Amino acid sequence: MKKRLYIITTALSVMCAMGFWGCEKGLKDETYSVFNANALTLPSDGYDAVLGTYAALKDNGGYGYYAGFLYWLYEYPADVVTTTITSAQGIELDQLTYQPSNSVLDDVWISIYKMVSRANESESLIEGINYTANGSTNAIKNANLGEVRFLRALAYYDATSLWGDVPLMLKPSAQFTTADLNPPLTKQALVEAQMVTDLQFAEANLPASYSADQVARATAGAAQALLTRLYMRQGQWQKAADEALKVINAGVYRLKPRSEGGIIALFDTTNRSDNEFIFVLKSSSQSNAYGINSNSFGINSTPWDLNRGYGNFPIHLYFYGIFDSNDDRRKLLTGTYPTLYGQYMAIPTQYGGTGSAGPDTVLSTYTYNLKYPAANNYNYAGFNNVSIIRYADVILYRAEALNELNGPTQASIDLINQIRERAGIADITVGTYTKSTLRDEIFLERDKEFFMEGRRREDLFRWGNSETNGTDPLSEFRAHVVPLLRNQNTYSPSINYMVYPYPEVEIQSNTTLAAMPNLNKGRYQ
Amino acid sequence: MKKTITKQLTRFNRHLFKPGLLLVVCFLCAFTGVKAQTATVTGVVSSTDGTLIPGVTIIEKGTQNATVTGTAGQFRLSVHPFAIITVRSIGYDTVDVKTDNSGKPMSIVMRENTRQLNDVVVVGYGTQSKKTFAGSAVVLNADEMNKSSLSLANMIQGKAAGVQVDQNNGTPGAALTIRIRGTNSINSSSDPLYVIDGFPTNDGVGVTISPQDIESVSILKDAASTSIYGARGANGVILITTKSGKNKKGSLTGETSIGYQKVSNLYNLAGPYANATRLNAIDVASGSTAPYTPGRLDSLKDGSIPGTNWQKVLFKIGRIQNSTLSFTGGSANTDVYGSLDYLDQDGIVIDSRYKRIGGRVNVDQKIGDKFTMSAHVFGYYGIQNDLPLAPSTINGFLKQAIEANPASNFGVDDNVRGDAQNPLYFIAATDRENTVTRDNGYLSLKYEPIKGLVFQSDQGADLNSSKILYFAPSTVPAGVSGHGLGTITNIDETELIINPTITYSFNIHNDHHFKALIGFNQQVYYYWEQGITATDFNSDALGYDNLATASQFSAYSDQSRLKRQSWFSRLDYDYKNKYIVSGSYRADGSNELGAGNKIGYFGAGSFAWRFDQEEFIKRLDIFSSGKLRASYGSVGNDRGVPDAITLATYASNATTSYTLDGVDQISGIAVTQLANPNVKWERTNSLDLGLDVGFLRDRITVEMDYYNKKTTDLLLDQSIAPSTGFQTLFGNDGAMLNRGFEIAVATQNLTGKFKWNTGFTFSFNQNKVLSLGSNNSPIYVGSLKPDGSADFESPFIVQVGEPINSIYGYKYAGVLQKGDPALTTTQKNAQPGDPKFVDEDHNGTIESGDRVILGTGVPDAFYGLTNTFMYGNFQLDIVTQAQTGGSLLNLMKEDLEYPLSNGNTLNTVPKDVWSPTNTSGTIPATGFYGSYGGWVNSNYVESSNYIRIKNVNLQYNFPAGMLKNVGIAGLSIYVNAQNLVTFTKYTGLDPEVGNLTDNTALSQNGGRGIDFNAYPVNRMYILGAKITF
Repeated sequence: MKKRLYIITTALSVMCAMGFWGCEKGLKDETYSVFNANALTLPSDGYDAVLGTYAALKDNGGYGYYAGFLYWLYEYPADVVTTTITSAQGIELDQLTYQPSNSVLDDVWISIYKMVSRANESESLIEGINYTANGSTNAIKNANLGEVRFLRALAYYDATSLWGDVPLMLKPSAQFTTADLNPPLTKQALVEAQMVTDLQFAEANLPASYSADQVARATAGAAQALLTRLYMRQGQWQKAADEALKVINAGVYRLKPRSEGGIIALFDTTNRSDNEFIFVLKSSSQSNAYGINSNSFGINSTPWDLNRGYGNFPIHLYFYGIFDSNDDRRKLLTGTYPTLYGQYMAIPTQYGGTGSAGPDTVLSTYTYNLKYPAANNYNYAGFNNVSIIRYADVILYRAEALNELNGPTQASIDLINQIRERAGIADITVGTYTKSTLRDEIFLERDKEFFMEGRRREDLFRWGNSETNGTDPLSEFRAHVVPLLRNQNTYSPSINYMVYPYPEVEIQSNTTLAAMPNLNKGRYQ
Repeated sequence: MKKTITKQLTRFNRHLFKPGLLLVVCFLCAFTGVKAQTATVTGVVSSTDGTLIPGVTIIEKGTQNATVTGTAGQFRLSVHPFAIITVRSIGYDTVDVKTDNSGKPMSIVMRENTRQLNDVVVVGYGTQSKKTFAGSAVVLNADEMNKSSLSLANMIQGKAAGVQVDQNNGTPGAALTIRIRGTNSINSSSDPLYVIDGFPTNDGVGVTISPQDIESVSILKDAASTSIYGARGANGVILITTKSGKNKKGSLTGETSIGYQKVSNLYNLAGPYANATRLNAIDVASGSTAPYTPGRLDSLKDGSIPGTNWQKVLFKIGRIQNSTLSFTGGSANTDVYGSLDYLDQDGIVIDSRYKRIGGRVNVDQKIGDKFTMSAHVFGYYGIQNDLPLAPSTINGFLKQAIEANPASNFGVDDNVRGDAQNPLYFIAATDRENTVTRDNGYLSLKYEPIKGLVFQSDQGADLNSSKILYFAPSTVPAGVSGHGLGTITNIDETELIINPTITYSFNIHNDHHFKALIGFNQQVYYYWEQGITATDFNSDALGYDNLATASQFSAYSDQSRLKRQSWFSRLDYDYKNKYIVSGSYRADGSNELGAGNKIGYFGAGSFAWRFDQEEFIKRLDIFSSGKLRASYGSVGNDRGVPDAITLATYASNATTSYTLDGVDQISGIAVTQLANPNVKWERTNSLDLGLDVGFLRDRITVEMDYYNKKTTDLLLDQSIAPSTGFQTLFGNDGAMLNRGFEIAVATQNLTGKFKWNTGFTFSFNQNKVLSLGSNNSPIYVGSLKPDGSADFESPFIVQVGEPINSIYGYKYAGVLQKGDPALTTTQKNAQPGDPKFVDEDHNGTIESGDRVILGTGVPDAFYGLTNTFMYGNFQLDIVTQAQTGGSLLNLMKEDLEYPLSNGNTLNTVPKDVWSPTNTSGTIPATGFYGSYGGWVNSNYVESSNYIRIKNVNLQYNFPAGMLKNVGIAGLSIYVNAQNLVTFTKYTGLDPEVGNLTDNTALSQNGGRGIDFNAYPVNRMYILGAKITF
């Protein structure tokens, strides 16, 4: 009896012992299909991390960030692009009835911070790699750092344009503390100071240009152009004019001349790269790029009855009417076209269109942009260049900055005329303008030049800001947007339309923001 | 040490010898008691299915005169003329037969007694007598389960208290979801562990095992029973025992059945003219041209263009054919079971199909007295042709087909005409095929050097390989941009098991019974996936059959390994079979957990008291049996831990790919998940209290259980602020509670010539989330956006204090009429005709804070009722199933009621949509996809309560005497109907859905209860025959 118990006890103790010392040996966690961070020690790994950061520009492909949704936030609330009644997702943004739960707000916020995070991780990874000991140079190392810091600055540019004060994250996740999981808001001015630091570093370390197979990489000119845009937003006219001049003087970029097809050829899908583009989102023309390296502009820009597009970016008819009939840029809008159903759609004559000329002609309610032309039948895989900054932008920024500094001068008129000549319309002359009327002229020129390129919302704010010396940045926004609203009451004077509400997805998981009682007060109705 | 054991065992062996001797003496007594008689009766004894039964005791009533049937069930016995003989065998109802003195051979049929077969419970690493089992388990034998079922899950549906089986998706070959006592986890799998013939198996047993091969199923529910499986037993264990040839004469059985299935309900959709008029109005209002000219509208109106009723074209009668051939046979030392089965099932949706071919060989061979070898080999091959866009996805095929334009009128070969996609063309042109090959090989060696001491070593391999083929030609939307899109995905899963155990059973002074077990288990799981995507096909002809016809390729591969090592032990003790105590202890190691947390320790104990054995209870004369049970234990879970989560990693995938020249795509790297080096075991502690009682000689038996399970250190993908760059952090945080009550009642209502048995099961489970991560942030589940809606919404929420699967949305308060105060207060931007919502948080505006819990996707109570009637050779089984307390978000209805839909709508839409001229309309003018509130709202949350006649089976067994002349041992025919009638107030096609927005563990646990684009559950009729030679 005793011995029997002895056997059992012994067996059980051996068991337990095996358990307790039953060592974790042989139970090592291993990676097979992802890289172990500790093994990434070569300059080529640093370069791959840079690529991974660029990839964040399109997030997961399809509609992500610069491939689509960012421009929904930039274009819909302004006065060019509108929505059809069936496009519920756009209506909220177009009619200013958005709420924190709007999925586009969620999506863009997430994309922006994904790019910030990738930049932070890459920065830390590259800093830890010894380039010189591994057959590379510190110049390349700094250029890689410059690229990721440029991308981080770009992400923060969008974040501050859309929300003002935002969390400022500069650490890789390996250094996260518990507090970092609930980041607080940082004042916009501090975020912008960080952007200036990053862009100045990028400007100093990035090359002026790349070979044709790498044209999508950030250059020193891209850093200068983005810095110009930031100074413009801040109203720092001299700094903006100076940065713009650096881009112009570098001689790397030019306007695509009319002799080469001008602005229409610039936006041709087959024009895979052009030195008017300073920085673009590149999408691949390969057939398997759909949803990975494609963008959604092509399919959404045109209507179903033209070429089976989704028609999510209809443009107000009045906009067609602001162009001279010989302005090349009007050719980037739909005029008269045969529909899938055997009829003709035409712009009414009062907007400069051909109007109804036969029994089969229907007068259209909207026009549509052709900057992102259809690639094929369904056009699911858009591989157009999505312009982020192009040379024309820098030219008009300098013209505007000079006007704000000195009033109308030949220097700024010449810059504006470069754009007009390329569009095929007559020059303007300095004598007819005051500072204020030239400002209006510049914003009109920008409107015609950059529609559907994500610039109008910010232009309206900057215009109002200059016009009222900062007392009412919303003056031009209100003047242009409110008359176009289907229900005028959706505009509220108590709302600051310069900033969107912080998205639901952030508030519900960030205890710091959730604890701020008036976080979204005055940001939506 | 070794010497001591040997000595000990020798002594012990001698001890055991005594009862054996006694048995032999008894046998001798039985034979020597024979006296001279005047009549001789001969005959054979068979079971209802025609199997001849050896070893049956035949006793002349009122005497000691007896014999035992031989291997072919034959007997011969001399009796008094016209004597009554009693025929008795374990596992069968005892019968009394009157002899007629005619000298003709008798043919005696015995009916299997299920209650007696239930006497044994298969438990982890062994069996136990049901009488002395202290845990909580359900045992179902083959003939107790649902008849004519096509899968294991179908067999047990409605049969076991505490076991919920859901048919999420009616696609042929789709697996069912089984939950034992609720959902334990959030991000980890809540599926039970399947153990086939003692081998713990990788997930996905679902459709691979042939229902005809199953001898019995034990479902272990409480921690005391499951904890021996440690890491993987947290969600309950389903032990499957396949058939063997033990004690059976060689026989060949063929069974074949044919049947058909059809959809039970259809939507009432708008006709061609009504829909065309609506579409015209929308396009004109949106500034586009009207797609239908006046002339075409007239033709649609007068029927000269007939249009198409797409539901009629798509839903058809699906044919089912199932055949099984099996051999059972055995001798004293060899048991053999072999089977081959073939199933061919057409879906009720055109082009959906499932075929299964499976084979099994089970051989057990005794070598001498001490050594047994068992080999179980199983092979399965399944081909599933599901729909080109899987159902249950947002833009799945069914939705596209149901909503296809009724005004279009074209054949299979037409593609796009004018404005519409032809779903027929779409389904015919797209190729999709999923094949699964699964092979199990298990070898078990058992050595019993002395009685009571067993060394056993089980080893085996489970090889599972799936191939998913897809081709979209250049003429369908998915293939347009790529000029054809073909993908081939290969998944290979291999699991190797080594599982040695030592068991030692002994008694002390006859009253103290002990059984001790120690063992070790190592399972290594290899996962290996490769995928190729090809585009730019020079022709649509060959598709995935020859990817060389494509010119652009991208490929990926993915590998992971999961290694678990465990040491376990159990000690069972009882005193006089009356007081029963059992304890188990287990140490589990898993390579996926953080250093220092890899090993988890889990223990459990149970106690039972058979009070019917006490004299004072016996004197009461109320109970024919009675047992009180209590158990408490702890089990772990490591399923669902993401690969390499404990390590800092960089990934390379589609989200890190970019192009620098607008053509070539190049791969970058990026951090895509937040590492957590501290991940540890999720732990479930559970208490079970049970009472088993029987009355009237067990003609009424009742089993009741109360349980309380608390899961802590939940494996949780905690929602974190996206401004960190990440949306989730995987780790252990949070707790969840499941508690409930189960009752199973079995009664024999009539026992005479007309027999009637009833089984009733009831289970109630309450689930509650106790905490969620350090910030208790709710988790939103199932983010999706139906076409046309503004927002992604998450229909489900996991929130502290609420059950998992809670449906979360707005309270709907009708259509806003002109002058409604809400237009100037809570919904300032709204127009008359928009939906009105309740300002639940009273902050003066309708926004996301007004969402409330509108119901729970998973019902809290389930009912099963089985009635079996037997008369002569007829047997009728009727299984009824019911559920209460659950809700469904009827998103399909909402989508079909969207007034601005590009597709077709319900036929009520034109009439019921609100407009300034139809202010009594009940559907908001632009549906629920607008600015305020959301599409998850109370208007479309409906109760999923139902009562369903699940399975009706009528069987006739031909009398053995009639068949003997033609050389057939048994023949039976049956008719079967499944899902015959359903009583429900639910307005969708069927309340038994619960499809998921995606297939993640999170959606499986917390995202059930949405009816969208589901493949409907269907009605099935089967006719079959079984013949044994």
